[in-house]
Amino acid sequence: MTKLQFRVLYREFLFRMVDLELLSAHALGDSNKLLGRFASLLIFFSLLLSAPALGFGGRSQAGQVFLPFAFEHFLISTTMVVVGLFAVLSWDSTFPDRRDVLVLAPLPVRPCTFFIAKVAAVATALGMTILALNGLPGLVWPAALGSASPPVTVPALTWDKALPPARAEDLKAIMDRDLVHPLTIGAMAPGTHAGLVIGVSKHGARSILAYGTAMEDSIFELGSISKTFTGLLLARAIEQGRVKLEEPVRELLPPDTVRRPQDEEITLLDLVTHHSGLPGVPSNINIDGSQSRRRLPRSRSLRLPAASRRREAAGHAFRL
Amino acid sequence: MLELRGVTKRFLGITAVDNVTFTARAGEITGYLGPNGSGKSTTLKMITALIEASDGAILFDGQPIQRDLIAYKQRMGYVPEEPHLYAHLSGLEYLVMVGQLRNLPARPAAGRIDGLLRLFGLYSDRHSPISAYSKGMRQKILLSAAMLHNPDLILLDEPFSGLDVSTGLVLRSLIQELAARGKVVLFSSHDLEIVERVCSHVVILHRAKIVADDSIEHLRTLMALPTLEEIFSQLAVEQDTAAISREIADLIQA
Repeated sequence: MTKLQFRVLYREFLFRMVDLELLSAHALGDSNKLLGRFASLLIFFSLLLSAPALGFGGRSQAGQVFLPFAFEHFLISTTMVVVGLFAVLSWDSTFPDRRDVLVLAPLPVRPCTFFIAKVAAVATALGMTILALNGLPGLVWPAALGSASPPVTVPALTWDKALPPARAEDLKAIMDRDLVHPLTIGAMAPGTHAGLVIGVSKHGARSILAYGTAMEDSIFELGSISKTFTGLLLARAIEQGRVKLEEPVRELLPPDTVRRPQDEEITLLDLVTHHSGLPGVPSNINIDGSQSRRRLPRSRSLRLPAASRRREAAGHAFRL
Repeated sequence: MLELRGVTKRFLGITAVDNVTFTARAGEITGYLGPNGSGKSTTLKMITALIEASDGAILFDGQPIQRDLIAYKQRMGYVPEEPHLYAHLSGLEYLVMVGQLRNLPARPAAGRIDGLLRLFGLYSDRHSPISAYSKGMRQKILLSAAMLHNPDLILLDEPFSGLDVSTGLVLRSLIQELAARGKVVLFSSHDLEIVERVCSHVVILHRAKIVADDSIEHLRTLMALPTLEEIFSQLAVEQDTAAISREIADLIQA
């Protein structure tokens, strides 16, 4: 492989990422113009991504941390999209076409020179695309983070030792100490409308700790936390011989609540392992609790009206 | 000297070129003739190493061309049948690129390119993209690219295609001049009149096989026919051309 041959082919392939014959014959200097316009577009886009850094100083501490993260993730995903698009658009030009073969094959050029020049051209174009898109935000955002007063820093990720077990009666002191920062300038600072409730139950003794806007009797949607408790309750019921895992749920409900299905019954094992096929939320329950007293139809698709009624009774008033 | 020894090319069991053997000598112009689909272009593609022969050997100056393909290509100039060029480049840029890929020294190559562009009448259009060139202008660029490195073997596949009369005359003289200077010239064309004027030796291909390999003079004597056209008709044309033309005329008149 001679350097000159490589350089000539590299330049040719780099300027031919798109089929320039599609352009007008009168578009003189077209390849340079085309690449220039494409680069300008990417740089303009990167300018847009860098602009929010100018108003960065006036933000809260939480905003100073989350905004760059949001932009970083946006940039990463945008870069992935651009790389994907680039791969699709340049795929055809990665391999020699009929014209390349007919033009270049009679010339004394080794196939490896040809191939390396193709790969190098694609890699360069891709690198330039990423640089044009990320170069400016890559400089502006660190500058904005560094110039903030005090500079916004994210602690390096280190391996922390497990905390020693705390006694239930010491929990309040520990939480009071650890939540000082979040409650003053962090995630639960005044104005964030955020709060936290911690409940501890030990040998029948219960204590509830409330922070931020939360109160001891605030109602939260339990979500997936309930799985732990229902699972434990089921295990206890099985241990006591009151139910079996293979037992159909229908037989545990009041008579005629659910019709006998034509195919397989839903068992307790199906429910506890999330294999029942039931919807996460019945379709006739609104999240704000309105119309929550409407009785669910007795159908195969909604076979647990009793469970649904329990949900209704709990209500859905959320306060965070 | 270019030698083909029992060269065969098969595509998926179809024999495009069958056991072709002939020699093109330095200093003479060898005409390579045959009807459409007889295997002329396939043979030329094998000689240019664009495709490999299924059987047989191609030798240049006694050496199989595959032994050192790069060295062989340095000595070969090829004008293909179809003008495949990088049409986004200008004529000048294309020739500079070819010169660089042939590793020609920059300064002499620039002078040679300049001269070729002037002599072929392309100098004023040298900065225009090839996409704006006429077929004849593209053909001139192909000819210039094939001659740029002063090759010892010149392969011409329909080189007169699209050329105007004066450039055609220039090219005809040029081919003769190059042969006189000791080059091996293999010339494939359908224009039998030009072949008869230019070539000293012809190889006629029919249905992938060689049916004649001799000097035109000897063929004339042997077959007792006055022109190459008649020799060609006798050897390679199976149809009654007069009857077909009558039928076509009748068909469009009906």
